[in-house]
Amino acid sequence: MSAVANLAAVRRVPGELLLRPAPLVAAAVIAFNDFCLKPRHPGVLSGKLSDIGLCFFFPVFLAAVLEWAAWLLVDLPRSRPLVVRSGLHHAGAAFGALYFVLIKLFPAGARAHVAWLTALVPGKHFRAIADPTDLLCLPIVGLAVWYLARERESSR
Amino acid sequence: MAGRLAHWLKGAASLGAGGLGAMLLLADTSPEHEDCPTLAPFKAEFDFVTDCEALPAQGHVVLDWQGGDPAEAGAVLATQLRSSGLDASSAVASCKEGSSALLGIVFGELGVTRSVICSGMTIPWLGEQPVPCTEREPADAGLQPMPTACTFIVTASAAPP
Repeated sequence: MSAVANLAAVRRVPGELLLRPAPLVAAAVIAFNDFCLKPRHPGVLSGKLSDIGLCFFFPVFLAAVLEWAAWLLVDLPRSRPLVVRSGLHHAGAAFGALYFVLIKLFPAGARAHVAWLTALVPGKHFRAIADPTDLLCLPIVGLAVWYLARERESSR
Repeated sequence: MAGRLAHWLKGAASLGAGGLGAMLLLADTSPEHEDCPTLAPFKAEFDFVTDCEALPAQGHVVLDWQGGDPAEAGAVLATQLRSSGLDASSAVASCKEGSSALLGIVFGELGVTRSVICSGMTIPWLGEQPVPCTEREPADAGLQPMPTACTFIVTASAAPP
C-alpha cells in the first residue's frame, strides 16, 4: 500500500475535507485567477473565475472550520474521535451561500464585509463591491453540498 | 505508533490547509485583486482611464458614495488618497443625473485635471441604464450641488517625495 493510501486509511481528522483534490483545485483556481489572470488578462473570465472557485471553496472551508470547532469543544473533552455531523456541513454551506448573496447583492453587505475584515486584520486594506452578476456563480454551491455529502458517505 | 504519527500529520495538514485557505480568502478581498471589468467600459472609451494591468503600479481609489454632503465626499476621497500615498491624476465618476456639480467640487478638491463624468449610472452594479459619458474639465461642472449616490474611481500616481 502506498504512503498516500496509508495516510487516507488513518482515522479521520477535523477539517480533512480540505485535503481532497476538489477543494485544493478550487483554491488553486482562486489563487491562479487573483495572482496571474487578473493582472495579465483582465476581462469577464477573470471577473468571475474567483467567484466560481469561492462558491465551492468557501462553504467547504466553513464546514471544515465548524468541524474543528465541534471537535475541540465537544469531542475532545469527551476523549472521543471526531464525529462527522451532517448538520455542520449543511450549516457551512448555507451560511457560505447566504454570505455570498449578501455581499454580492447589497452594497451595505459588501461594506459590512470590508468592515469586519478590517477589524479582523487591522492595517490591511480590503475592498468588496456588490455585483449581482456574480450571483450567476451561486449554483456552484450545489457542487460543494454534493461534495460534502460524498465526504460524509466515505467517512462511514 | 506509526498510525498515531500519521494521524497527527493529517491533523497538521488539515490545519495548514485551513490557514492557507483563510489567507487566500483574505487576499481575494484585497484591493489589488479587484475585479478588473470594473474599469473596462471606461477604458474602451477614454484613453486616459487606466487599465487593470497598470492599476497596481499606478494606484487607484474607489469610493461608493451613498449621497450626502459633496464636500464630505471630496474629503473622504482625499483622505483615502493620502492614506494610500497617492496623488490624484484622473478620475471617472458615475452618478445619478443632476449631480455633475458634486463631481466638479470633488474633483476640484482633489486637483484632478482629467475626468470622465457619466450622467446616469453607467457602472453595472449600480443597476441603471448606461448613457454616454463625456470628458470634461472640472470647472465645467453643473450649477447646483445635488448630493446623490455616486461611484468615483480616481486613478492616481505615487506622490512626489
